[in-house]
Amino acid sequence: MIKMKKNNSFFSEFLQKVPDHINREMDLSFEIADRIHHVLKERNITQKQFAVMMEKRESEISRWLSGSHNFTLETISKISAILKTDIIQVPRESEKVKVPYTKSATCKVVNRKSSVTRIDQHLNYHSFSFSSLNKNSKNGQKFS
Amino acid sequence: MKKKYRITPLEDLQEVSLFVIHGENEKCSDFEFFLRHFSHTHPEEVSKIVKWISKIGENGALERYFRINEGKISDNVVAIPIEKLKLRLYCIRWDEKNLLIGGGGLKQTAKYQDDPVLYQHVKILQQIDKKLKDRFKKGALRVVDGIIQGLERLSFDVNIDD
Repeated sequence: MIKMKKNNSFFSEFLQKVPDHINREMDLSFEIADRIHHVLKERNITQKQFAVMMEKRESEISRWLSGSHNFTLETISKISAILKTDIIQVPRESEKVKVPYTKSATCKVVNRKSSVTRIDQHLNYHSFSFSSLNKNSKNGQKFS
Repeated sequence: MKKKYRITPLEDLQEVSLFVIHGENEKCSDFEFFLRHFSHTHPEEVSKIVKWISKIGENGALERYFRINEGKISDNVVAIPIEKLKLRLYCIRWDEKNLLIGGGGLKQTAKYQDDPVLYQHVKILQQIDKKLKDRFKKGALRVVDGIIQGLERLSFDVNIDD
């Protein structure tokens, strides 16, 4: 939480108006950068060494660690694979979730045993139940 | 032409104190003008910039957030480095605890030097940065417990283009 001694400035006024999706985007962006930075530091891997590992320029790694890079899932997955650790994880309410494919598609029960679990506290607000998308249907029933 | 600027405190965030520059006879600071002006034309970008500054406020103005050595801008003057934005906002990253926010504008040229508006904002901050360093050398300014002391008494004459 931000501590503000002067909370009546125009800055606070604009900060309060930041849309929720931008708050989440920037929070995630910084969290991902900080997570990568933390893993590198923990393992004594320099940016230069990491650039070689990732087959990227050092300037690209710099951008990744700046907290303002728009990562693709592909890049995050590659980083996770190279560092052999999760960079982000999607929280799951339960192991079994119903996944609606289309409006008329059959609901499938998906086994989530191998899925990742929530680690980052800030990601809590991404957590939701898939069943809420399908309140009126039972397993295997079609959507109407 | 010379214009007098003073530095005024904006917010004390968790890890960073924010300052802005305020031109003589101007109704608001350069930063406030920037936000108010572009909030109508580029509301999403303005929101991203405001949120980015608040994140810096939470985490500290760490060097890696600014990509200090990559830019062409000299001294401590840096553009807020959010990727893919059309807006540019310039600031002086004094240290991890103190960030002075200047003005900015819409980036329409490849180099900021080719855009008279952006170049003006950078030049103003470069002059203020130099003057701040001189004041620190002379002892008129000092950092105590991460807080710059003496700023409230200072104003700067800055050369600006007519």
